[in-house]
Amino acid sequence: MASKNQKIDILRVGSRIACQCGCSDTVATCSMYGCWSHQAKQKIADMQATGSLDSAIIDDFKRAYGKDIYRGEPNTFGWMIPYLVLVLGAAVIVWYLRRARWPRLPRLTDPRLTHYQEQIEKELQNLDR
Amino acid sequence: MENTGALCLLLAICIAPYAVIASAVGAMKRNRLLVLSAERAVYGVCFCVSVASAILVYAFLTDDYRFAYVASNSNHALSPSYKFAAWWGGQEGSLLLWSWLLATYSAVVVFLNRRKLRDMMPYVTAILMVTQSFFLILNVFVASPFRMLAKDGSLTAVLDGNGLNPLLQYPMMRIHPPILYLGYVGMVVPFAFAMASLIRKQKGDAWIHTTRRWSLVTWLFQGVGVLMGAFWAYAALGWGGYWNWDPVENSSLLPWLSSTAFLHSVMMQEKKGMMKVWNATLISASFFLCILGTDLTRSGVVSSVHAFAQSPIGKYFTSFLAIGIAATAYLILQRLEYLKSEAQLESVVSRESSFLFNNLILLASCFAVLWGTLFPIISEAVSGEKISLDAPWFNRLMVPIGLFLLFLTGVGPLFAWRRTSTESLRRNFLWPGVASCSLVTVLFVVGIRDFYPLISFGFCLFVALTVFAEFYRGARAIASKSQINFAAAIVELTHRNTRRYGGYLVHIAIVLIFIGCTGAAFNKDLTTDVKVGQSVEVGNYELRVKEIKDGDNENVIWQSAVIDVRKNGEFLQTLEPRRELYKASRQQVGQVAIRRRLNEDLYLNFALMRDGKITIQAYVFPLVCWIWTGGFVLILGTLIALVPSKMKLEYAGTELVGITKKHVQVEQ
Repeated sequence: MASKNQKIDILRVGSRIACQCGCSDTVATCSMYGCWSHQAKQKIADMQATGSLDSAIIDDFKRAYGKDIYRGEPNTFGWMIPYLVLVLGAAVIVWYLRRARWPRLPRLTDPRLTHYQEQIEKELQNLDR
Repeated sequence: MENTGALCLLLAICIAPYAVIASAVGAMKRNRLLVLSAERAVYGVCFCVSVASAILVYAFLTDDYRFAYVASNSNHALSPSYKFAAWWGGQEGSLLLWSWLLATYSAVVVFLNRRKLRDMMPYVTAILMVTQSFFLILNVFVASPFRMLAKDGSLTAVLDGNGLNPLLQYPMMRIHPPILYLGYVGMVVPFAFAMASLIRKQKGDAWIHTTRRWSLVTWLFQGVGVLMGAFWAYAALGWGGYWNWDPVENSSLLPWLSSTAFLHSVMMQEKKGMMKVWNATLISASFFLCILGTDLTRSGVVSSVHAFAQSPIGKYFTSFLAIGIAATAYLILQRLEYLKSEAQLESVVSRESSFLFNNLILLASCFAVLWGTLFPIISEAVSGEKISLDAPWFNRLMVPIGLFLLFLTGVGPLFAWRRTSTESLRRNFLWPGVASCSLVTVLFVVGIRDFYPLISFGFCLFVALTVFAEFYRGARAIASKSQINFAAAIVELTHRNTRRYGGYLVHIAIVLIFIGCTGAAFNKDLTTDVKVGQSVEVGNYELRVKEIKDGDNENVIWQSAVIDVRKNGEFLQTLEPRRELYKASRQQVGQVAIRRRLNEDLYLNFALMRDGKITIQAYVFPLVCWIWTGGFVLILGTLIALVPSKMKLEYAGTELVGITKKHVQVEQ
């Protein structure tokens, strides 16, 4: 689908075509001036100006350079996994926090222990100094 | 001489396995002489590999083109420093560099611990030498740097070599690979100590205390190596892109992310005796990610501007990884009962929890980068279709993760151990929060409407203020108590706890790097054809092409565009971007011209000369210098953290001594 910005249209198709200059980028992301990606972008622009669809443009490149020139989009699986891992990790942490938390014990009320409790609190506050 | 080099490597590959066996048997049979002989063998390996490396370097410096490796990576026209750097310019030489660094590290570790940790050291030696043996196998049998050129059965030499790849003829070539390798190789030492501790069934943290500085230095080398690579890419590749999520770039980032997580979570084990299994897993993951990174760079599995040519070396690395990971996993699972936590969490709002979330974010980003790097390979293997996961994919994923990590960088250190009170939260976060929100509002009003840059600047200010507040509060207390001036108080404060305040400086470095990266949202660029005498405008700059110069030397034929730079009518300076044609390789490379300032860089690339016109690519990169400045602050902060604190810190350890019934009576 054409957008108002021709550059976006070219890059959308270019991101599916591997640059042939020897870099690992696609036509959309290769920034070497004067390399093959420049003429490829021009060709895409010319074909889009005549009303060619994205698929037709890509097929044309495949016919000229072989099917290996095509770079597919990452599928849903490719997108989902990192987020799933993040959510899974957060779930593991929540589980660990619940499991590893000190159980709430009834507070000891013997006044003779107050002195020791205050000393413990004071020493633990200095833990990080 | 060539025979001596090969013979030294052959000797080393005989001695290294002996060291493994002698260490292990000597430890099991408590035979101190056998253990001692194994340690002497480590010195022997170091000597042999050093001699082999010296011979290769000598061959480069004396233009000995009987060596195939020298002939393919050097030529007469190279300067001596690039001839030396050509040592690591190709597959064989860089693997030899790896072996030499590993042998040297091993010898240093054995020497420093010759009178301590005698129960652990045999196992440390064995693990180091197992890794050494693997790399020596590659050096001797798979990628030997001592292959000679021969014709009709006798040694021959070419008149001149092919020279170093022109893209590698940049000053960073002399230092970036060795620094990165120092980081990669160094990770084997804390890994070896961790595994030795597991083998010995130790419940304590001896391995962490012993390797703390080593881990920090290794982490620093990796981080600086990554930044150096980014700086090199920025200057050398012609479009100012310092990070393109290239597979080889990703490989260098992976172990740095996991070792950053390790440096944080290890504090939990030191102070609370928690997360022992996790730390053993993390340090193992960091080590194996270094090996994986090396595999990806060299095997040809991924295509990259940084990668070596395709080679059969990948299957050796894959086998080493498979065996190593399996053995490590088995050992950790076998020793789980010795790795039980000694304490428990008291509150979710505590520093302990913040470390957990810090680890989650760091490792999620590590996984995302790994996934993005490997998914095209996996997808092609499974479905046969090549897919592209390029920079926009990574940015969509990594930018929000990175921003959340930045937020945690400010929040985490201000949580107290055990639990954080509401009063403490309010005291620490109120004013930085208000200031950050104010900044975001001001930026929005002046016209910055992109969501991520706004959030990034807001978080950067938040983190910076929380760190400065820590320095300010501590220094103010010392200044008033000790009656010294504020600057002296800051020095005293830092010296009392170098680890903590050095770490805060490292956080500031991360803030600076984030500021620099955020500037990329405001880049300007212009590609245009101009004639000599004409002017063009990019951003606030006016560029006028004064003349075209050309020339040549032994190495290159070059052409440069002399361009005057003006801003608001005022002359600033003359920049001279060049195009160079390297005579040996017939390869054309651009040398950009950069005007560097803290607020922005003006970046000019002389792309083409055609029909009397020159094609200039002009870029304005705001704030990019802050990335490199952040690198220097990173080094400073880490060096401070390495300095021994003035006050020796001891943490009360806790240990489970037994289990009693409920509602126990306290004895009077």
